Amino acid sequence: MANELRPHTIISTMYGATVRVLRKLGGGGQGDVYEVEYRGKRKALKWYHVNKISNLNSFVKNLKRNITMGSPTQDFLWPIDMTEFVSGSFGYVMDLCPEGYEEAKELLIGNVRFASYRRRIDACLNIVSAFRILHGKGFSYQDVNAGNFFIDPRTGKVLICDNDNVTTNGEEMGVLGTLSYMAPEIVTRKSFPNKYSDRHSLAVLLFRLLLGPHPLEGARSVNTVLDSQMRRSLYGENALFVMDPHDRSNAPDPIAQEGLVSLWNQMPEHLKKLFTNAFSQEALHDPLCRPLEADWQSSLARFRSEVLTCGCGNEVCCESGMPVPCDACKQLVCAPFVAVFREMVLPVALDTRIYRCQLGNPGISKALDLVAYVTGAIDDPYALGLRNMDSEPWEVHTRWNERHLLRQDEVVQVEEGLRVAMPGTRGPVKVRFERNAQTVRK
Amino acid sequence: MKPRGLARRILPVFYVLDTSGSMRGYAVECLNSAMEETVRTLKNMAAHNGDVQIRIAVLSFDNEARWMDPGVPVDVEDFVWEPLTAELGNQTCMGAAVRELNSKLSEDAFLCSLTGSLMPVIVFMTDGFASDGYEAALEDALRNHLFRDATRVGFAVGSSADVKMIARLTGNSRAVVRAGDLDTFVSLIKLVSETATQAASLSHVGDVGDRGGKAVEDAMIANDDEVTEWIASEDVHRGKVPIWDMNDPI
Ligand SMILES: Nc1ncnc2c1ncn2[C@@H]1O[C@H](COP(=O)(O)OP(=O)(O)O)[C@@H](O)[C@H]1O
Ligand SMILES: [Zn+2]
Repeated sequence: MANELRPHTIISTMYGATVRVLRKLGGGGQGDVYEVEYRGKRKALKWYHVNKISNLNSFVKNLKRNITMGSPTQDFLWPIDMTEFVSGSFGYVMDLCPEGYEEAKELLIGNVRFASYRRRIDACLNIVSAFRILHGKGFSYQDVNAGNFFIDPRTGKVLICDNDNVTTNGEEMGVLGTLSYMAPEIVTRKSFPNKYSDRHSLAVLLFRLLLGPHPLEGARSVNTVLDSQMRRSLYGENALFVMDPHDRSNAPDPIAQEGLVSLWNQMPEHLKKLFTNAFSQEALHDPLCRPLEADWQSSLARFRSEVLTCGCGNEVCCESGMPVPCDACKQLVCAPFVAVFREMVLPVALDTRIYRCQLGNPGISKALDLVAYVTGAIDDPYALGLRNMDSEPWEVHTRWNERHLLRQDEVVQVEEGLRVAMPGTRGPVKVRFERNAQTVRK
Repeated sequence: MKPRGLARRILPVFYVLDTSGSMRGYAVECLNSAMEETVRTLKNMAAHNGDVQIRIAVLSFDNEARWMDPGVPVDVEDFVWEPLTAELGNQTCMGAAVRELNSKLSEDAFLCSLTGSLMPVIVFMTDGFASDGYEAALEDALRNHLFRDATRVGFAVGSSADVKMIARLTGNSRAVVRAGDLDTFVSLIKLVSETATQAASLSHVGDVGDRGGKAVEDAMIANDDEVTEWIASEDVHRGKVPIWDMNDPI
């Protein structure tokens, strides 16, 4: 390739530093990515195929602006410097993706597996939180697709790359996105990518991460050749959700997509409702009707708390704390306790988490702060403890009506009748703990 | 058979938002994102507050003032935020906005069927100085009790916003939020909308206290994550407590 960079090439940057090329990491449509040395550290350099950029001037201007504005959060592999032009091409410097992170594509295909289903949910939560902040700052991403997300399958942590197309919402960058993730109005060329089309693409990515198949590829796509015309119809003007409650003509194929229905049925109602809204005919065709990142965040945080591990190792969803039979071993999975909030009930078991966004309406950057964590006891296999992860103390009432303050990192034993007041954004949020009934409630 | 519940009281919430030239680009996009979340917050509030129906109306102003569709306060449940835009060179005609708001703030015209309605909430936002004389419009508006007795709060965003104007529009300097930058505005608009709506929904007819100032104060406290009042810790729970596994959650 003509503009391939050789190892040891040295190029100067906009901020007066240099990059020294070490090795090529991979190639994509818009350019190649190299490992480089920059200010004494290993970084990544994206080096463009300039002929693939439609409006070079505004592209460079936008890139410079992104560099000066800085990354919205730690979750983005944001451009930090730009190189000079060398033989007609140029590139930008970003952090190197650390060991352990995998491209989301690999996780979708199943080449790499998440440590657990809870880690999948964590990854989804991290993605929507990063986008909530990105959109909140007036940006749009434009090209959401599985190739642009690095995920650590052990922790669910996420790093988002390809931030060179990120721009002020509403500005055109010349990219349209990746067909199967594009919003219908982009597929049909009625609009250019923006915050609202990002929201559709995000919903597709979440669906795929949590359920596997593409949300718009049902019976209509089975046993047909998915040529470009067919795909345009599937993702564009004739888009129909596989789980659309009103029109079942694109329902999952009972043989080819058998697993999807049973997995869907295990999802909690609040999440099913959100997916159904996100892919309703209304939202598919009216970008303003799509769920907000904050909606996903609330539902996913709740879902995170509702997934429990069965004795056999399989994970099941105990919606609102209700015991359910494990789909693998048929045993009843029942959290020992439930936490009763004013607006919801959560199962309480080992590793249950409560996030700040479950206690009201905190600032966007604080939404995913962990405020409570359920831990086990070293000397008692049956005891569960609730640990305060927050810097604010909680007021704790035991069932003997003793009350005391529980400070950060202190633990109180979860018992029938325990009541805890955790500081929420609008005054204390009261939570009551109850022993869970061992029977299937209706 | 179920007895019919009481009709929900209507609480109109008005936003008067600056879309002048200086709001162009990131600023107006931040405003849009913040308002989308604000509408969501109000929807949640309405869902959990059985006796109030929140109705929302949005007036944006630059060279002129215009209402966001449908132009009358609608149930927040049915409200869809239409993204605002800001054009370079446009002015900050706050006077026009106040005049427009006031002309529609009358029982018969705009707020039709106000039976059982609560005094409105009005939220102002600007990042500049008025380019028309707003004083006369404000004087007129203050003769209208639906304006005068409303829970009024305002945002002065950035360093070149006319704080004094916002103070006069809200009738109280305590009801002014000075947001040094957009990030601050974004995080506070939701909270202030929440506290102002709460204050207004608890208000009684004839109670014309400083609800705006109170709402802003409440929002600030919530934003600082200030410690809520706690009962002093008397005796720390002793008894037999297992040794907890302190392995850090990742
Ligand atoms: N910051 C980074 N650190 C390590 N590897 C990266 C980084 N960014 C991209 N890559 C790798 O480089 C390859 C090309 O990436 P990219 O140019 O972003 O692809 P595309 O242009 O197709 O979106 C990918 O295989 C990706 O894994
Ligand atoms: Zn099992």
